[in-house]
Amino acid sequence: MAGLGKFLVRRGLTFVPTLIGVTLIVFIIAYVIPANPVRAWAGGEKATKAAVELIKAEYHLNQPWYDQYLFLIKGLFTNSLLDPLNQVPVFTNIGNRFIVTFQLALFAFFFVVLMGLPLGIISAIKRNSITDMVLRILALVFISTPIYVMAYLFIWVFFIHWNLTTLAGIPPAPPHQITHIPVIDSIITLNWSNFVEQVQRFWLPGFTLGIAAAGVLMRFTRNSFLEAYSRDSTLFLKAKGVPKSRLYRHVLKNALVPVITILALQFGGLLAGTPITETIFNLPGIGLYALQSVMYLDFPALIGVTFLYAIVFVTANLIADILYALVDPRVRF
Amino acid sequence: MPEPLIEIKNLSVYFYTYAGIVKAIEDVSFDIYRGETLALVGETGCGKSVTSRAITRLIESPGRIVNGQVIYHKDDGSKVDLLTLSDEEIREIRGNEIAYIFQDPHSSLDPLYTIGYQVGEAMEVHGKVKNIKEGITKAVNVLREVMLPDPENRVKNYPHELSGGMKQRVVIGVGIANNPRLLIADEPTTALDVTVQAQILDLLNELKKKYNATVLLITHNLGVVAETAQRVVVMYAGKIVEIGTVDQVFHNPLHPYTAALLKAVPNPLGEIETLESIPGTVPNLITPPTGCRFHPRCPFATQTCRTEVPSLKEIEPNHFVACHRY
Amino acid sequence: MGNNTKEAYEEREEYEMSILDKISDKIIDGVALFINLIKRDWKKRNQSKIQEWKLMAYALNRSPPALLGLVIVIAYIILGIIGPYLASWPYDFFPVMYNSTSRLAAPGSNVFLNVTMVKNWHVIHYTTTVHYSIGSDLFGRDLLSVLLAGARTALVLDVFIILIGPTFGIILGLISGYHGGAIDEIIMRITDMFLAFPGLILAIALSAVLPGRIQNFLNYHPFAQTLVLKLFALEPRDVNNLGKLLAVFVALIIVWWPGYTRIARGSTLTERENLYVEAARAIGLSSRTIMFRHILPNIIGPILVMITMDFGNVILTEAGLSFLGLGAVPPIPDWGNLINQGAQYFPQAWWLVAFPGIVIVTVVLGWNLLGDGLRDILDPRTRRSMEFKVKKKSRTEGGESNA
Repeated sequence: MAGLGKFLVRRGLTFVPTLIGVTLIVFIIAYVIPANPVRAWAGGEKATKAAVELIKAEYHLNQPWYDQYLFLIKGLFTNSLLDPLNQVPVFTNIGNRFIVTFQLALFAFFFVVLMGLPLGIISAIKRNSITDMVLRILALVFISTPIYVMAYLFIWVFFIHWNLTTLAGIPPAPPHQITHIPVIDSIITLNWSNFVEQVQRFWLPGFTLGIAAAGVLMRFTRNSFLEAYSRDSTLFLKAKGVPKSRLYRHVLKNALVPVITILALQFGGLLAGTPITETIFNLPGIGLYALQSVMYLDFPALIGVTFLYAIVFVTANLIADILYALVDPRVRF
Repeated sequence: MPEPLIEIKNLSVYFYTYAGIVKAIEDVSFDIYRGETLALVGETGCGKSVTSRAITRLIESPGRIVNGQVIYHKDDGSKVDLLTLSDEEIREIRGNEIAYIFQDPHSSLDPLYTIGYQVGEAMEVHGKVKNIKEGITKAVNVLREVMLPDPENRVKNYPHELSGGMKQRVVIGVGIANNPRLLIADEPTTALDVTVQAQILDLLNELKKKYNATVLLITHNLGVVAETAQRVVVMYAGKIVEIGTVDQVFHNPLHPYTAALLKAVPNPLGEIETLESIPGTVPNLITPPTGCRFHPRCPFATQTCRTEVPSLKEIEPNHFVACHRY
Repeated sequence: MGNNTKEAYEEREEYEMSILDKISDKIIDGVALFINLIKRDWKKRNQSKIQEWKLMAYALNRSPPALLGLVIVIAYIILGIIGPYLASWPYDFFPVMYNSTSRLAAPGSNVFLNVTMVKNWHVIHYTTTVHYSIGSDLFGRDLLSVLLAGARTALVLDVFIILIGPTFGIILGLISGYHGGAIDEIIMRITDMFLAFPGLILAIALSAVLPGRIQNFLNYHPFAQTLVLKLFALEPRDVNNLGKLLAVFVALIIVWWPGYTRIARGSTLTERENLYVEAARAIGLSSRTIMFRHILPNIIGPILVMITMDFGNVILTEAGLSFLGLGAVPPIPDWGNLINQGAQYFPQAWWLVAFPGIVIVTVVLGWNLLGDGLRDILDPRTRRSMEFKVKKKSRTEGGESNA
């Protein structure tokens, strides 16, 4: 796997300009902002002049823009940049919240795969039938429904009517931590009661977050399956006398090559797509943190969050590339 | 009297597309005799491939076989119409008794499976081997038959690791794996380099001799026909215009289209004359010309040609033509 | 061959022309006539193109979901144009000022108002009764009227964002793909940066930052002010609320182009390898002509599908931002903002979530259904593999083309 190592290094290098660029964009947005954030950081209108000056000095706000930028980036890498709102290093804040977002994305991903793959395959196998038409429209409804409308509908059905979920607080992590993702730890340590608690709190937000992505995956799987089915190699398999089930196995394997790479990108998209879900379901994750940092003009936090999102994006792309090379013998690193 | 292996009777295949109903082939009838190599020739789009695929119902939507019979004479002497069989019955015949070789080896093989698996699979699905493992072991022998170098190691290769010629050998290997009674080779050399083409044709000829198989060879290359086939079926715009032995058709073409076709390429059995092109264009098959479909391009066309569809007539023994001039 | 076969008759199958086919034929003929007025001889030279359009329309007519989408989209556009005039109550009339029971009034309720207001420096008194067919919002406004007026807001944002963002993206993609080299590298690195940024977060940040500047700009440019007010069908005194609305507009344009650059560049790269581009270059056509007149028409198919579906996505994202409290604020009528109001009183004021929700879902679904149908029709491969059902057999003159 020497090829893989080289590939990772080469790809890693192309990330650098993207990461710099993304943080720079945020920084420019922050830099041109008309409102003076320092007063808000120092505690609002009542803040003393001395406190304001202290904060300005602490965040290099009196220095030229490039010095401010370097200060922010250096602070991120050494984790010495403090969130002015709670005086905790930004990446510590992000780390705590990322666990919640990651767990949310995991639940969503579970539903995406559970619904998107089989329904997409059924839709393709029964192409141009009534079943196919219904499933295609269903997928489009999933994509077309705003997440907040979906969320309130589900809250009404599953919380108010049937009370199948909890909507407040965050269940504690199981006592024995391995991966630091509570739901995975509770499975590994066979902590059944904690697992149930996690599921009760997270299944509905995950389901809500995942539904649009499930629609996208359904459509993608269907098209990919049909594309693979229409290839000459499928006709040759038929001419060989291969039974239907086996024929579909070949087609499915071919169809899954692009689907698997899409799955990696979708997981990245789920991680980045949480702001509205976390707001509605009151989950203290990255999305909520990002929203709050925009509302309170908390730029150190915003730069940190953006940096994280950019890392998520490039990592998802990288994983997609690696998976592609693993499932398709034609691709080499 | 030669024994027929397949009798195709009044076969019609239409494609129901958004632009109209494409009458890909209409009322096609001919026999394939046991042990012969029959060539099916004609221009691109005249319905050669559709005809060959319709034999085992390999027609995909929006195409449909709207009419006809394909009578298949089994080894035990019984006869069966392939178009009326159940899906499972026809599947047992495909690749087992009637096997195909397609034009483009680059797209015929599944890129995600090793070639050993794909050859072995052909035997496995017809119960010739117990499982795929035994299939792959036996695939070594099959690949040796088709003269793929170093078959013991090659079985583990993926298609993309092979050259075009080698891939076509694998495709042929898949075709002959079950020792079929009829091998349908659909332009087996078109997608290959000229130098490789001859090798593949030689291989086909040799295999045919060795197994005494029947071959339906589809091609637009008249040189290939002269070299390999005993009889020829000429198609034009979805209809058969002439059937005869290679000798009859090449030396005494009866249909004006066959004659024109032979003049348009260096006649493989005659001396080289000046080449002529056929005036006009291939008709669109949504609204084919009435009467004889060749009449808009035919120098001898008369009023009858425009209104009446000519039927196949036997002019000399085993030499049929569909033309109003005879 | 037509001349030769006139005498012949034969029985043949053909597809039934439905009423829709006849209508679509008429529309396409009309469009062709119209283009002919602008460009002389256009119709004569593009017969086969017109024929192709008609055939595509037949395929569309046989896809019920796509037709449903088309109907919804047309309804949305018409409502977007005339919606504000259909509303029975003006969007800036707040009944809650005269009778507090009109706040969050339930569907079907009637509220009596004793109105005292100042108009043109006169104090006016009158009484009236408001009938809330589908409820009211926090300000006692008739939900149906606000929804109708909000159609204009949605349509104007939708159309202008799609006109500007994707166009910009496609042009960049064409340039990048056609020229290659350093230009390509620079454009694509910048595009990647914007793609690496979650669109929603960028839009949120921008719509939080931009309003002040846009408001300033509008205050100094009265012409722009009037234009924007007219476009959104707003009253002049709402001018100070425009900043936030337009901030969303600018934010979404900035978010919306990179995807198109990627796609356009990819297709341009493959298209550039074709011989006709080589030939066009050989006869000395300018790069601009080659890019826009020769390459663009060949890559536009999938992009058109994407644009159609993005008409829906823009509505979704815009409403999402309004839901988060960014973007349009009352009194500007906006679907997403209504849900934002309703969210705080859910499930008591369920109608504030339900009805705007249904409207948004319907419109977005309409665009998506249409886009999905177009995908099948514009892709030659799926179009060819579409199977048509034969409806009737008829005796017609053989050889005469019906296709």
